Formats: sequence, C-alpha cells, structure tokens
Amino acid sequence: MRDFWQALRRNRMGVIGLIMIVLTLLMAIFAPLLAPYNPKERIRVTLDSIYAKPSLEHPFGTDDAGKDVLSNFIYGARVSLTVGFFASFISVVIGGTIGLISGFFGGKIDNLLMRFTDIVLVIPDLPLAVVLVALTKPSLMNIIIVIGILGWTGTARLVRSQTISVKERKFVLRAKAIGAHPLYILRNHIFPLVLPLMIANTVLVISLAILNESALAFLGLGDPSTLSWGQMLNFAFTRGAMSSGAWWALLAPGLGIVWLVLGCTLLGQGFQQILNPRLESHHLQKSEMIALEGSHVQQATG
Amino acid sequence: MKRCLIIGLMLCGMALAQGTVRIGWAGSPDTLNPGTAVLSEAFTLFDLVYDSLFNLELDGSIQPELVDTYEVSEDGTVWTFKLHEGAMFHDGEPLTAADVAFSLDYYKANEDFPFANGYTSYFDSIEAADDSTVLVTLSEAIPNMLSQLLYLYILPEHIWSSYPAGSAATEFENLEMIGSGPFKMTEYKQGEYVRLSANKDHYAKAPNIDEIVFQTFGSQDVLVQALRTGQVDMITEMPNTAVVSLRNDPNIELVIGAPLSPSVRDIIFNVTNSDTCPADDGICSGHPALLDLNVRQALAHATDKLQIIDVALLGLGTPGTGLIMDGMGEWFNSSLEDYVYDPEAANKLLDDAGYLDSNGDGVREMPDGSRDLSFRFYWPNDVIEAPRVAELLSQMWGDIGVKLELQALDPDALTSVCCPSFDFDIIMWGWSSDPDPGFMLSVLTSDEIPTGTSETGYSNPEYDELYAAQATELDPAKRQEIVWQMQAIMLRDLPYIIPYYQQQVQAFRTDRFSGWITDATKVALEDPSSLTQIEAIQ
Repeated sequence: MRDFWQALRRNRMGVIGLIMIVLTLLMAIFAPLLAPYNPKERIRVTLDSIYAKPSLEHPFGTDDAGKDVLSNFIYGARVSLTVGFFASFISVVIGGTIGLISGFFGGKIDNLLMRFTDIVLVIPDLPLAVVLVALTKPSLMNIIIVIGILGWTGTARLVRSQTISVKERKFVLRAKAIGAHPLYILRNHIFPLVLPLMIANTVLVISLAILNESALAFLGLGDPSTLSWGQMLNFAFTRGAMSSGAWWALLAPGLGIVWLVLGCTLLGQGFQQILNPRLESHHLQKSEMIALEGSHVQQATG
Repeated sequence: MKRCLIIGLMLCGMALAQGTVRIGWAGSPDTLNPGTAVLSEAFTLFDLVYDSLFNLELDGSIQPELVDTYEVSEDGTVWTFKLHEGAMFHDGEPLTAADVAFSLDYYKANEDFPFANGYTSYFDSIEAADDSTVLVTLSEAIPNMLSQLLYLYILPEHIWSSYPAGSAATEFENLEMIGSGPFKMTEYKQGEYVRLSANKDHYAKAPNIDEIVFQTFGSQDVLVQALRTGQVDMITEMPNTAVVSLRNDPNIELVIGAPLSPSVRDIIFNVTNSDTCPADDGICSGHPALLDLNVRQALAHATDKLQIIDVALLGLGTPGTGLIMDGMGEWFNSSLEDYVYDPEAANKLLDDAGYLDSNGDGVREMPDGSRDLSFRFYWPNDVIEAPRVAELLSQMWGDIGVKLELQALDPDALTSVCCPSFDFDIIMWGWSSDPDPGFMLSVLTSDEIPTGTSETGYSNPEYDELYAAQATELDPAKRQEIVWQMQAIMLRDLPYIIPYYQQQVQAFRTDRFSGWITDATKVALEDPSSLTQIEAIQ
C-alpha cells in the first residue's frame, strides 16, 4: 500500500486529479461556511433581480429565481458527489461480484454471466436511465440506484479478466491442491489482488455517474427540490438564461461538472497506470520496439 | 466563404417579401379539423381562416361577426340570425344560411367532438328560413347563447357533407381548410409551419398584409432569440424571464396583460372516495389524508401564493381563489377572502386533527400512524414555470411536515393517471376558458367524474344543483349571484388550491409592421383584429 502511494505521488496527473477531487469534497463538506447565501432561503424576486450580472454581491451572478449562483454551485457539489460515490459503489459491487464469479468459475457460469453483461452493455445507458427514472419516482435515491445498476458492465469485464489471470498463478493452484474451499480462495487469494483494480475503476465510474446524473437532471427528470449542477443547468436552459444572455448561470454548473469529471478521470487513469505499468508506454511504441528487436516478438506478444 | 455569405443574405432578403408577417410559436396545431381540435394553436388558425356567427373582441365583449342583426323570442328559446351579405368561401362559393344550419347541426350530431358538441347541448333544432336567415330553437332558454356560438366555426356544406358523421367526421384532416375568414390556408407542414394568404375579398375585414407564416420553434427560449435576430416579427409566447432582456431592445415592444382566454394554474387534489370512484376506469389511489378538509386547509394556509408568483412568474400574475379567473369580469367573485399564508395556523390544524410526527423524521403521519403525509405531486413537463412552483411548494409544505414526491410527466402520461382513473395524489395543471363561466363550473360537478373532465372527483349535491340552476338562469344578476356562491363553495371545500392566474406576455418587432393592437383590455397579437389591421413599414 505504501508503494502504491509513492507511485501515485510520482504520477503527476494522478496527483492533480486527486487534488481536484479533494478540493471539491472540501467545498461540499463546508458548503454552509463557504456559501455566501442559503439557497433554500425564500427571497422576494422582481424582474430586475433575476439573471443579475456577476458583481461583488453575487460573484457568479444570480439565476432565474434571483438566487446567488455561487451559493447554488457550492451546495450543488453535494448532490453530484453523493450520486457519484454511491452510484459507482453500487456499480462496482455488482460489476465486481459478477466479474469475480465469472472469471473464477469459468465455463457455463462465465458464459451466462458474460452474455448477460453483453446485453446490458449494448443497451444505451442514458435512454434506459431516462425510462427507468420516469417509471420510478425521481428521488435522489432512485437516481443513484438507476445509475448504479446501469454502470457496472465495464467493471465486470475488467475484474473478470484480472481474475482469470490471477487464478492461474502458482499460489492459487497450490491452495487448490491442498483442498481449500473455492470461496476461501476467492476471498483470501484472488479478491485482494483484484481489489486495487476495482478501486481504480470506481474512480472512473464516479465520473460516468456524475455525468449521467447531470444529464438526467438537465432533461428535467431530476427532483427540482434537489439542488444539483444538472438541475441548475436545467433551470437555466428552460427558463431563458440563453435569451437573457446570462452565460454565468450555465457556465458555473457546466464547469463544475467538467472539473469533477476531469479530476476523477485523471485520478482513475493514474491508478490504472500504477497498477498496470504496461499502459504507460504506448502500444505503437511497443510495436516499433518489437520490429527492431525481432527476437523479442514471442515474449512481447505472449 | 465571404461570397457565400453575401449570396445567403441576398436570398434571405428576397424571400422576405414586404407583406409577409412571420409569427413564431412553440406549439403547433394538433389538427385542422375544427370539430376535433384541442390545442389553442389550432383555434388561433380557425379564428383566422373561418368566420363564426359571433366573435370575442379584445375588450372582452361578444360582437356579431357573420351575423348582421339578430333577435330572440319572448321566452328566449327561438333565436333568429340575419347574416351579412357578401360572405364567400375561399373556393368562390357563397356562404349562405344553409351552410350555417349545416355547421351547427353537424357539431350537434357529432358527439365525439370534445368542445363543439358541448356548445350545442341546448340546441333543439336549426333551420335556414331563407338564404340569409337562420333560426335556432333551444330546448330551454339559456343565458349564454352568444358565447356558445363563438367557437362554432361555419363550415362549407359542399365539402363537409361528404364526411357526415362518426369516424368520417373525426378523421377528416381538412388540409385544404376552406373557410370564409380573412385568411386562406396555402401550406401546412405539421409541426413545422403554416402559411396563410390574405383573403382580400373578405366582406368585412380584408387584411392589409399579404401573407402570414406561423413557424414552430423548439422552445420558448429559441423564440426569443428568433425575435431578437429578426427571424420572426412577432412571438405569441415567451418565458417571463426574457422580459428584462427584451425590454431593453430598441426594436422590440413587449405586450403584457390579461390573456384573451383567461387562464388558471390549479393544484388538483384527488378527493375521490369509494362512492365517487368511476366504476369503469377508476383506480382511485389517492392518499386518504387528502379526503380530510383539515389537511387541504392546512396546505392552503401553508401556500405563499405571492412568493410563488414572484419566483415562478416574476410577478406577472395574480393570486387565485377558484377556477373562475379574474379575467372573466363580473363572473369572478372578488368578494372572497382567501386563506392567508400562515404556517402556524396550518401546523395547528394538522396537530388538532391528529396528524402528528410521532417518529420524529420531520414528516407527519396519519392519525392512526399507518402512512406518512407524503404525497405524489405531478405536473406536465411542458409548463416551463412548473418545476420552480413544485420546488417552492415542496419547501413550503415541508415546513408543516408534509412531504412531496415531485415528478414531471408528459401531458399524455398525466392524462392517463389523472382522469377518470384518479391514480394520483396531487397534480398541478391548468385551464384556459372561453368568456362564459359555464364550462369551468362544470369541471367540479359530479356528472363529469366518469367523463374525465372532473380532475378532483369532487362531488357535492348542493354544488350540482347550483350548477344546473345557473345554466338556465336568464337574469344576469341572479346568475352572477349563483356563480359567486359556487366559487365560495369551491374555496370552502378546497378540491383545488389555485396558486395564480397568469398574464399573457407577447412581443413584436417594431421595425417591420405597424398597427399591432397593444392597448386593448386583453392581449392577443395573433387575433384577427391585429393581423387584419397591421401594415408593413415601408
């Protein structure tokens, strides 16, 4: 584990991603201290107080209901992060379980689970999420569940391939030979080796979940009483921010989403590079090397 | 690249003929058949392309249109209409009393026509005495005969007699749309645009312009952009949030005021019980707490209507008391005292009625503890201010321990959960009305529960009796008294909470056409009165 952190510190992109996420987390946690206004506060609104330009009083301007965009933005991070973490947790638990079982037991079980994964994989995420959210109630909980149960396919495939490679290792074979129970092997030998990969994958799935939540809220499928960045975009879009020239009402939540997704992607890729150093060199570079050193072909591809 | 741009501009300039007024709207007519149409966009076209016997003016009064003079028999049952001379259909055939009698008979015979058929319900017989005289005999004298005739457009018998009844009548697309009005249909692309040309031979109000193009845009926000860039000359609707930016544009003038069809936003409570649930289609899954008047009163006390009007409409509306809108003139009961916004009173009502939060989760439970006071709350996703209203209501009602599960639904999905299935707790929706209070009052009658017109399932014999009485009360003062009494009952029994009556917001460019009617009591730039009067600016 210590090696892992040291490796991460050397991975500059990963560190930047980590800082971006931590900053957002801090902002969400300390929202009541940071936000200049309380978004739930009821204020009198007039035609002139909506879409006010950024000023000292309102650094990011005001939105269609005369509310401070900066405060909404700070509080909105809470929803995006909550959905991101919980939905990706659900995804990774489902995907991890299916991947482990499928990879470890192989054969018919593997075939069945992977075909099921293929089916879920080919269904486009967003339209299905739209349908599911429309059928259930658009509470935050349901949105988390819907996004969670749609985002596990990538994890399942990744974990399966890692499991297959791990289970052929000598110590696993030895454990089998002395008659260890398959579940024991799975828990004590394979799972610990697959776990880092799952963590790295979780971070990547978070960014997907955040994007999906924003998309759902933007399409008007969110709960309007839940203040998220997607919901802010939805209000700005449907209530005339564009025609009023209020770019700030769209820019703040938009950049927030980009920031958080970028942070997760950088950190996730950092994790993967550390866990799988072969990713660090480009495969084309490798093939050049192979061409130059013909004798290594067998090893490099095998 | 530059050359392309110049050519593009030239083409654009050529296509833009002097006398073509381009109108932008976010909707599109559902059908061109005046019998089956439901959407207001369709009725806007009918008003331009057809004539009816009487017309609703922008001052709210009803004036003769095709009718020159008319008289009514002593007992009020026989109406004699003398038609104007010179009315012609667009295909050159004269419009005669036979066409009028045919049209009224046609609407009466087709029970599947949602609105038109209802207007003829007291018509007993209709006959053409000669070429220009029509006699309508009523089964009973009614006080609102003229308003019944506003939307009964006169159809050419020589065309419509081929589609006499049943599915032939309801499925007829009427794409040619031959009428006698000041504009003729020239081109129609459903969901895209409608092109009308001026009927310069109109007997009364020949337009000054040559052509109108109604263009459908994807959203109201895009409409505002199109107006600003000069792509359209007038927009029939826009978000209130765009008022500020358009107000500062020197080439654009805004018109804000009472809509020609008064409109109301309503919060519908499902109050069906086992007795009133429709036998055929009823699911009646409403929350039992909503049957308790104490709960509905508490919700009314917890609703800050002024705050809602501020945030959702930016002040361009007035707080409501009942389904009869303040734009209905003397029919609106202005003496009613609304429930004041008072969360403490609301809390006390719920406490006293036994709805307590015994498990401390911030949401009250039923007196027997069986269920939370947690209500499903739906609204149609085409109402742009609705999410903001829902957000505010969930806060305001949350303050008194009532939870809302918010969900926007497609209007079709909303219809299917609404009525007559009553598979909801609370819906926020709305109505637009003709100037007579008759229809809006019928919405709460017991007879309408199985038909789907009643949204609440409210049933009160006293109200039903009053409804029947006002329908045939000929003395306007007495009818007004009954109508006012019915509004008092609505407010007392609270099958609805009415957050607001909204104002119409429209805008037009001042650099292309002049003569738009902006100073009338009602705002409707798309009304024939404006469109026949405007002139191109040279």
